[in-house]
Amino acid sequence: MTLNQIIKGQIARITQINGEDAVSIRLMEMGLIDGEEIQLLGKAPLGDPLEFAVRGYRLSLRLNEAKCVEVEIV
Amino acid sequence: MINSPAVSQKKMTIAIIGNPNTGKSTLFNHLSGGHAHIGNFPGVTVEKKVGSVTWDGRNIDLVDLPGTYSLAPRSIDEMVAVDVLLGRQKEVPLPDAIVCIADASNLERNLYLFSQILDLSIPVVLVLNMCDLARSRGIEIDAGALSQKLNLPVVCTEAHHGKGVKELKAEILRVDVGTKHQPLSLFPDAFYFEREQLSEKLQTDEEGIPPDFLVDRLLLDVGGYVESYFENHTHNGLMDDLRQARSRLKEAGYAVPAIEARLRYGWSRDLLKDVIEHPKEHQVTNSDRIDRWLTHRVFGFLFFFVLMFFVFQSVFTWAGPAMELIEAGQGIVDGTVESLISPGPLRSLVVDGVVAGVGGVLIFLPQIVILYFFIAVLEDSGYMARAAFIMDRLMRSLGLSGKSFIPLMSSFACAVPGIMATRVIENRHERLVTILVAPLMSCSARWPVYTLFIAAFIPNIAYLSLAGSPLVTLQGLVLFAMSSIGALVAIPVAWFLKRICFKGDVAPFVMELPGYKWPSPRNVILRVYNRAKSFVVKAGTLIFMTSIIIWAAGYFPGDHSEQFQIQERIETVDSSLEELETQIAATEESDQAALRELQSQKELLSGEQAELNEKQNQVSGQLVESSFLGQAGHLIAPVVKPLGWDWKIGVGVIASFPAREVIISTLGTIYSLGGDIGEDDQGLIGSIRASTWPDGSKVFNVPVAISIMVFFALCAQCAATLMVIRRETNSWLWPVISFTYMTTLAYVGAFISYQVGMLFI
Repeated sequence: MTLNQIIKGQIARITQINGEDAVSIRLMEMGLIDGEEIQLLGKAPLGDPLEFAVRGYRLSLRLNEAKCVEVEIV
Repeated sequence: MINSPAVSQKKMTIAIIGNPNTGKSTLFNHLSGGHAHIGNFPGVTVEKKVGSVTWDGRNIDLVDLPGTYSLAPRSIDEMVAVDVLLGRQKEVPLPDAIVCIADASNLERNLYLFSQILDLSIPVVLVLNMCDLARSRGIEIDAGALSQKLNLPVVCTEAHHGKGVKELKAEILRVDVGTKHQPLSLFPDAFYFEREQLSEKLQTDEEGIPPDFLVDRLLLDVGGYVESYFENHTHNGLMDDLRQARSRLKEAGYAVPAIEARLRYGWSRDLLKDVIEHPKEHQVTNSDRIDRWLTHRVFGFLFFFVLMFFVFQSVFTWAGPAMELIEAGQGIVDGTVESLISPGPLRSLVVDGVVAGVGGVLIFLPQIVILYFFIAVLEDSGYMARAAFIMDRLMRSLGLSGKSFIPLMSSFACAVPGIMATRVIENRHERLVTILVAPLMSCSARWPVYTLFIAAFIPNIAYLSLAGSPLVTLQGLVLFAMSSIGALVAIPVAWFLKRICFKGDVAPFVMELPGYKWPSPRNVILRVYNRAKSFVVKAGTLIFMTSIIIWAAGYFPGDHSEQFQIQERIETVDSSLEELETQIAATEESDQAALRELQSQKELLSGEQAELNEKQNQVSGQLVESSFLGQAGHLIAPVVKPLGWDWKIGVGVIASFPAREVIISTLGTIYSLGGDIGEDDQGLIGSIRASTWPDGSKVFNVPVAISIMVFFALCAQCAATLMVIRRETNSWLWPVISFTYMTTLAYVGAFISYQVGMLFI
């Protein structure tokens, strides 16, 4: 499954970042690397973008950006 | 430590870099003592901020680089930091040391950038800022152990109350200038082998072998800026070589770009293992609790809109009195000049050119200061990122992102601070699109134009009334329509620019939501001050020059001697009248005969005064018509004819190039009413209603009024906006494009309104 599919409060482990474009490079620079845990904290009022907790900080990702991140539920 | 006199005489250059939201600018302000020279790096939209200080008799230039998460440039703007750090930026010498500022509460991620900096071989001082915040979250860092592991100075600071700044200064002064450090070199040998191969191929006679760091970036940044840079600067086969090198690395199990993040984050985690103590994972912070409310589905939206309304309203209402004060001050200066210089070209230049020009610059300051105050508070507190978070979905339908919302909303008050506020948008294309559509938002300078023509031509019909007071009127509806037309047109314009002109550039919205904190007053004040100063100095000079040029065009080549004679006579009559008034007031009421004598003298003078004023207005009107400006008005008459305009409106439009509202005083002059005219002046409304074409038919009717209003809603008649665009984009190209596209839109809009309107008459 991908990161856009997890529900609020759920914690997932990243398995892979898909793509080599600007978005996936930025995701990796921000510390989204396989093995890392990430939690969905909430959504913007219109359901997109999403707020995550990763490596102890808060990160906002759009749905289509979260789609690049393969995860498994912990 | 080397400390020979020769070395300490040399000026030191220190580059300051760090992730966004690390308190970097607060720390920079402390280090530089608040004094910084702010300019622009040539050819890019990146701000160059240099603070020159003297510590212990040593001259130091502190160069503040833009906040960034990584040194992997994707655009020419992001390349600036890399160029500075490699000494390839001509305006800044190679830094003697780098101060890297990291957020102590989020060290692991901040060390990613730090690890890239370590590859540069320049001495580095690591600053752990916001140590207090980290402690409050239960994060304990052993800075001494970290320093030992890194073999580098590490300083803990709390920049927002100046703690640790002294220690940081001491560490900077202790840096061994000129030493080359061993790069961090985390990559496997296979990677360095490929780098060496590429380096040799990239060698040129002029530049020699490119720096290792740049070749690393070439290999690692797929589709990055360095790729395109080398593609344009070296041999043809480069892209093939690069592809092969990358595929060899992939086969060896080191696929780029993933390898870099994996290695650097692995290094950072290892480094921190015995140095940092974390509380349990997935801890809920106070910031999270605030966020649950401020990004809440209902309450988050509500809070956002109430806050935005408050900001917007404040810019409008608080700026009002200050702007009136500036206008009043301008009036006083005018009066003083008039009492010192007799009527003539010099007085006209000083009053109508210089003072009006300076006033035209200063009048923007209240709005800039107030808006920038709010923006600085919102940014410093961490709410700005939430505003972008909340508005992103809506703004994306325009091809923009949430970060464009505040600049665009601010532009409804005034495009000048709005365009200056686009600095929060890191993506170059997105920022350009926002800058280009911002002047379409209906700013407050358009209101006088709307008010004048609506009062003169739109019938006052009420559609809905409540207790005798009208709720919805036709005039109100037209005003609303005029205020919204720009924003509506901005939607397809933004879409077109984003999809057609800046195609293929998908800006990642991947954005950190920093923890909430109290804004630092010192930071806020300094930011407001710097913005205001740079506006006055950089854009102000150009706005001022434009005003002088338009003044000259309206003044020359006419013979003003008659006008000056009348003016002198008017002033004599005015002062005699004043004298009479005091005499009348001083005369005893019983002295009827003397009073009568004085009264009749007063009547005589009043009559002459009225006559002279009329004559003066007539002469001024004729002078404007015969001036270069008037000639230009006649010249463009055939062009504006399809819009339903005569040459007088044409002159008004040309004269209002420095600022839209100037059209009202220009029309006042042309219709022989004198220059000091307000938008609700009954004389002006009467004159434009009565104005006719040579064949006797009326110039103005409803379609003409609408056509003028639509033109002013869409045009770029504002020198200040164009000069700020030039300043913010650091290029003349964008103001020229703005002016051209907006004038075209305005013309087409006015044409359609007039031609369609005439069908219903």
